[in-house]
Amino acid sequence: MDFLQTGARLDITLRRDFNLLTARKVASLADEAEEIHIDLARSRLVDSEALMLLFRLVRAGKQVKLKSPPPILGEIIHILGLETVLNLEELVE
Amino acid sequence: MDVRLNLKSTVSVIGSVSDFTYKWSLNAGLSEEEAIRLALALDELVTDIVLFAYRDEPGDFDISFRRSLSTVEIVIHEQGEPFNLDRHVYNRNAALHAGNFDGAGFELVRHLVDDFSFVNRGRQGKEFRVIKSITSEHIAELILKDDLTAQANTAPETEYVMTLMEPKDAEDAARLIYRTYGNTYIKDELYFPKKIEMALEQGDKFGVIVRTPEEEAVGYFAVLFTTNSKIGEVGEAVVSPRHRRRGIMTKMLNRLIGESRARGLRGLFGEAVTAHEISQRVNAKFNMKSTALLLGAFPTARYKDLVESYEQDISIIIDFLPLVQETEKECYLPPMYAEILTAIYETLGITVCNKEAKAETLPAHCETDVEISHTFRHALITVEQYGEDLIESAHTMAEGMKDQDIRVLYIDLPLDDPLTPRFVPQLREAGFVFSGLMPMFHHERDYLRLQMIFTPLDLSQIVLFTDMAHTIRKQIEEEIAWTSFKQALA
Repeated sequence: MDFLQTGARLDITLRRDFNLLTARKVASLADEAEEIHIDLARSRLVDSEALMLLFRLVRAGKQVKLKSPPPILGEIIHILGLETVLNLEELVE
Repeated sequence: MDVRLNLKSTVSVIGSVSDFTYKWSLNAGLSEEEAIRLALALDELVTDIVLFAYRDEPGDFDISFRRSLSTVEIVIHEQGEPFNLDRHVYNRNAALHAGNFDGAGFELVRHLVDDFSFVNRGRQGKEFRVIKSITSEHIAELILKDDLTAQANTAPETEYVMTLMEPKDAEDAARLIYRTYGNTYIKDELYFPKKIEMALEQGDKFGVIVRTPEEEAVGYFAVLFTTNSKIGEVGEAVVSPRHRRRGIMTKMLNRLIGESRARGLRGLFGEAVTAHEISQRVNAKFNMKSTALLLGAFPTARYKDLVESYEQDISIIIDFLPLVQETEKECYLPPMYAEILTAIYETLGITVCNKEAKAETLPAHCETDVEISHTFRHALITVEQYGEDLIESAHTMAEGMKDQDIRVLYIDLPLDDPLTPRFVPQLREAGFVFSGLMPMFHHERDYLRLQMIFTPLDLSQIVLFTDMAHTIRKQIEEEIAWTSFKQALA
């Protein structure tokens, strides 16, 4: 995982799937940031642990932006009925 | 079984499991999109094990990847803390309003795969099973309607050419099945040329195809590798009605027997349906011997031009043909089945030396392999090692199977294990009854199969052909008279 902290902005580029392992790393970096940009171009899948993290970050009032998320992200948000909080049109940059 | 992995329960294995699952699924024939869905399902299940099965204790778990022509199945087996899947139901409102995501992973798994089940194996741990269907183009989509109307009457006498099946013959074989049986052939994968092609390429089966001088395919017969043993199933056979009664089936089977011997197979078996006796007659004609009757092996079906309506689950007869003739065999026969098993062995040309079972040390835990077919609604437990907890484990699994709409549970017991005679009476008390002999069915070893059904079945509706098949049914009927199994058959 590559990341760059610039003031309140955190840019993260994942090198693999967005799962429990990477979600924990992202969570450990996200505390100080207000604006979090995550590049998911190399992630084949995003799992429920990652989704829970995104949910908590958005609920905490952080501005979360996703770049090139895998198509399955929209499907799992829909399955879990979280569209009102995790709105892909607002999340994807 | 295709692949089995044993993994430490650590966070770092999650990504490796999903990567492997994705690539294995692609090789098995899933599309890119479906392979990702299956990989995500595995990610969710392994994450659950890592987080909750062993908590902070070291632990490990097994993942088995199995592939057939129509489905892929992945089984995760762990022995962590007790767990009840029913208590972890995802609630969207709890997630949205309280941030409570309990059960979210399992909710995803249910949507991402075609079948998801949880099997509690008692002290042997727990299993998560996921199944995905492999989809491809159905032969009906490839055949023009005009093509079908060209079938009528008997074909003029002609010469036939028989060759070993190659992947390029797959579409013609599927067409032949479709034209002959309509949509009623039980093996669904034969309607998908791509699946036939893959099975041939991957060595899951081999076969022969018979053509006219005009290249029309009129006969197809294949041997499938459906067990974990060096035996083959003569499972797919068709001759165009216009070309029947010309010895095509006989010639194809003779060629397959020769080919099977050349490939080192030790036997061939057929699963003959008992809704009619045609398949059993054909097997008998080729000197196959009836060794077992499997009650309710799959849901009822219509058999084009044979049986239009059969009201109960289909039972099958196992017919076996040894390709390497053994004349003697040492076994531990349970006393109550010694006579009938000896008689079955005799039909196979084998004299049994029934060894006396001495007192053996019994491990605390048994080791079993479990296969569940949701399509056919049956399950099979294969005993690999006896243990004190076998009966309890079988009982727990049987209860779990009922909840999953499994209609019959079979259990295979090794006849070369001196503990088999000790456990058969207990399994009978638990509700299992005789099924028969499964020769060389697992790793070239002979097994006694017992069975327990959970749905009503009228044994008098089962159509049998050979004398031994009738003897086996009589044995089952006698046992039913005193077991609790009687209620299910009432």
